Amino acid sequence: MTGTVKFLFDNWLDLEILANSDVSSEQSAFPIENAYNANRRSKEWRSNGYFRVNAGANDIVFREEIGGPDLVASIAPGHYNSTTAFIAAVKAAFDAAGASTYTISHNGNYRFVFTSNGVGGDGIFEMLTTDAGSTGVGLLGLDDETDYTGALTYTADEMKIHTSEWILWDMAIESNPNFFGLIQERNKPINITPSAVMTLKGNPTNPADWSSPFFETTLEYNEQIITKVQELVFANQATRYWRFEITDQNPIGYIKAGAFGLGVLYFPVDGKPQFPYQLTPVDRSTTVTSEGGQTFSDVLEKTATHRFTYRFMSIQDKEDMEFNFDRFGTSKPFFVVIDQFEHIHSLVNRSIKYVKFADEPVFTIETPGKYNMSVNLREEL
Amino acid sequence: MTDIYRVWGAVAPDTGFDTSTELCDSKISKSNQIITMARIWVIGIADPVFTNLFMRVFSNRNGQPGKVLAQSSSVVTRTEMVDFLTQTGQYSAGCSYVMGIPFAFDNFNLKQDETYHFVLNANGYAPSEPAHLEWMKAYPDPPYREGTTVNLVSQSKNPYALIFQGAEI
Repeated sequence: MTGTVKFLFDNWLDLEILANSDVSSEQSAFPIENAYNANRRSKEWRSNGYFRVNAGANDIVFREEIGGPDLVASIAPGHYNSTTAFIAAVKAAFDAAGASTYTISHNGNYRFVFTSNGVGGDGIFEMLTTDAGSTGVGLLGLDDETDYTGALTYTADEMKIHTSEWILWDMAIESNPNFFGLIQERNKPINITPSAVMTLKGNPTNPADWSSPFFETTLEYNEQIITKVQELVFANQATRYWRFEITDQNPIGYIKAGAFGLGVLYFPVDGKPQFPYQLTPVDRSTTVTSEGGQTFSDVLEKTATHRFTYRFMSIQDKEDMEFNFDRFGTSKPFFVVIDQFEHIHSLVNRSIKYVKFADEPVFTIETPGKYNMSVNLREEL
Repeated sequence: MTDIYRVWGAVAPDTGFDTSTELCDSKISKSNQIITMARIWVIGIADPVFTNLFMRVFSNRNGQPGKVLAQSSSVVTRTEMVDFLTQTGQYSAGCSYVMGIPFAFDNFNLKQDETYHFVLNANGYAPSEPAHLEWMKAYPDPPYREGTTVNLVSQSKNPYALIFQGAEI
């Protein structure tokens, strides 16, 4: 086969490699470590609602008395790593500015709900979101073209699950990958919406504001894998910190990831996979036939196996593969890029798989100093 | 002449059709989904004058359109509408038509069990008696004699006066 199959044997997103790791938010049952190296892809990280409040974009003008005065709820600037914490800050801002007591909540459609008990002032509650002083309307999903008047409870117009989410990786040393991947379960479309804005950033330091990193690339949506893969390394210069950012007002209410990959792809220098490349879709469902002749199926998840045969690998390549098989065995998963240059796939994304060795690789000597190798990989679910 | 096909429509407002929410179809999304296109049928009586026909999606505020959440990334012009009919690309003044119009959206997200208001707008609209626009109704109609549902059950099972293209997420 043309091209070269490449393996991510060194996934840097591993707690044994990373000097440090930080995440914008995570649900306690779905920590970010679930998506790091050699974990099951169905074991997820789920965001918990990260809200970054900046000074100058954090005020809501409101009234408790007919005709004024205007009160200003100023949400304390800061980083809130849960929707609950952010809601508490919004409530504190309204309570501090007004005489009524306010209840802020997130409804089932992830829209903020603002309720006044009507005790303060004239017993009214008006949110003047068209006022120039209401700089926080975007933060809360409010309408800046129409004020909210005539009731004591208002529901924001837009769904807001976060301002963004990010994951920071501190490599401790200057690092420069040529592969990034984000996947979820195999047999479902990725649960990120096509309107999501995703970036991968690299910087020598960890600034408070990552708006101008040394390296930045936009990641394109794909229903199977969010990826960037290059033959050469991403950045002109290696950097210590790498960061994935995503903004996606996702209807499921959170962002999730099953497995991340970041690192430099490995491939044998001399040997190349040969045709035929054998792809075998696997359906583990069992079907039994009843006495009446009808069939009944125990529906199970589908997967696939990929078999390659390398010829004329050098001794060094063979020993590298032996070493990596010793590391991963048949029990630990890794990313593989089967067709980076899209010779036999419509899109490189479709050729990137999260696999385990299905069998032990078999090495045979073709000629002295040159090995053949047979590898069988099974996609993980 | 025998009537072989009869359609009903809601008439566009005489003024303010560029911002009006009068021509509105409300839908409750029954799943999390993405909209990339919404298709409606428009009745044009005697080649009414307008510049661009477009669609906007509003949030639900107490059952009424609230904030504009999205606007179609494509528009249809009056000339395009008439050119569709002539096949020759020649403008045919004064003709009437019933046209299926696709409006593209840039991957607009719909939340499950949330209500959205799909609103038809046109700028440069200058109706005259009898030249005007109407949004064709799905009801009354042979397939939907009993009325239509507001539930957007799925993108492939919906009354045809407003159909969607996209995907569930």
